[in-house]
Amino acid sequence: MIEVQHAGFQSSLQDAGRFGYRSFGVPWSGPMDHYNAGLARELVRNPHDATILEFYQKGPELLFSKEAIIAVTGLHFELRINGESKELYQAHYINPGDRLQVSTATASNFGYIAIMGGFDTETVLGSTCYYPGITQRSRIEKGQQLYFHQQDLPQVASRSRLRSLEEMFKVTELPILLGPEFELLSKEQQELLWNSSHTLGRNNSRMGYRFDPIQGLQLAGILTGPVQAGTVQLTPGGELIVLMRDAQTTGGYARILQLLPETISILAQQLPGTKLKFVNQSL
Amino acid sequence: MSDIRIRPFGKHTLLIEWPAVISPDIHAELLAYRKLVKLFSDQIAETVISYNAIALHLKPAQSPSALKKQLEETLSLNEVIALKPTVCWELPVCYNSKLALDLDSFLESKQISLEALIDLHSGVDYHIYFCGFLPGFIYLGGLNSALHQARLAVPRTRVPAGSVGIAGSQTGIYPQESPGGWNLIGRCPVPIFNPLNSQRPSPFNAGQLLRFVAVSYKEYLDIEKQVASGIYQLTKKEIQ
Repeated sequence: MIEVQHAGFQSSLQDAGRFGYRSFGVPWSGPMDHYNAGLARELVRNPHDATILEFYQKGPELLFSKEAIIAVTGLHFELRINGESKELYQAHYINPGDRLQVSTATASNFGYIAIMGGFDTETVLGSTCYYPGITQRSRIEKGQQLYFHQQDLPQVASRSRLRSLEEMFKVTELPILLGPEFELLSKEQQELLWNSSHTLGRNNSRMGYRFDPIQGLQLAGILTGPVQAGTVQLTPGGELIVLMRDAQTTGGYARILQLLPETISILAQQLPGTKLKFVNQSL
Repeated sequence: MSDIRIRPFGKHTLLIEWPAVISPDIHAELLAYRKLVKLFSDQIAETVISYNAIALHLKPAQSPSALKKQLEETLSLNEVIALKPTVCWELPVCYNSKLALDLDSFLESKQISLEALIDLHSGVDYHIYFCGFLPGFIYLGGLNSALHQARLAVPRTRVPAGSVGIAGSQTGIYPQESPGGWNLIGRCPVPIFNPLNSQRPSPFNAGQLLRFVAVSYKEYLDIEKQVASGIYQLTKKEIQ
């Protein structure tokens, strides 16, 4: 068992995603960054759909009362076990009474803690992903107990250390496809869209990331229609909202672009203030 | 059958669109088409519909453009027979300011009596278009234009589950407690979304009808008790 001493920011449990209920308005959820989530799971030899802990910019502080093997991934977080600095992207053996701390991030948004066997939490509509109105909790909270599937642990944690993905996340461009309402943009607006650097705003969450408005770029709302993770909406106020993993299944803003699936994880790790260009891959 | 447009929407999704209007007839065509598309369910992971669109989220390794071609070649639009609603749900609603924070200000701003509001809001068979916005939230069509009202200028951070509200030309029920900016005019004592029922988290299907039935505050509390003890059954009427 694990006691949460500090929750970190927007910490949640996530498996691979909640599939099969979109027609009921239920989003897919799942980790914001599939790459780092996947690596964390691999390091502790969990299957790809094992439940992991995700945190945003500030990691939690966890007190273990059972032995475990864990791994932490994410860019430039600092991991401490009993105050001693430890490597990310490496499996670590935890003894009963050990205290794990993950510091604030400076270079990315989301980090992951995987535990051998996977976290054990309620499965609702086929998934463990936290989501308001579906699971009892929508965030990990201070004082909460976390459980994990126990298994016989190897004597020592695996020595293999995976290279961090740092280079992959250093991007200035996002390859992207055209969305259903792209054709509603005027020629001038299309040029603005492709030629501008778009600045990521501060108001980002698992539901959506916002880019600052660009003068002259806006579209009227549409009759509410299907959306998905990676849909780039343009609002009448000129905001570009990229829908992320917890986004609604339908929306009423013009869907001008659609991210490639693998790019959603890359965008998820970009910090507020980052400037990005969209590059048309539909050609 | 209306003209439809089929095109990829991202790498793994195919979007099928009808003209962008809210119309029970167009929606009926869409539902009939969705039924035909089930022929290709080996390629489709999930289906989302709206007023005028079907999104087919494909299984891994399936190509939207290949499916588009198959749909265009094999599904003759003449085969699509629009389906008429066969079911009307009855949902109890208590129109009482103890349960609905905006009821008094709504009546005041509309200059109508409570009785008139109840007649206008509960005297209609609403068309169930689709689920979206929140898990279990159903988009209803058919709100009387006398009841159209802009959203609250400042949304509430907490709207109780079961709240019945009006926003613009729409009326709806909050399936769970959530933030929201709708004008709250009543409350339904029956949960309309149960995430613990993995077979059927919501009882409603697109293309069915729904009618609100006004209940007193006492009846509201009685139904709430029946719901808590698990004996309450929603009323569902077959339409001839």
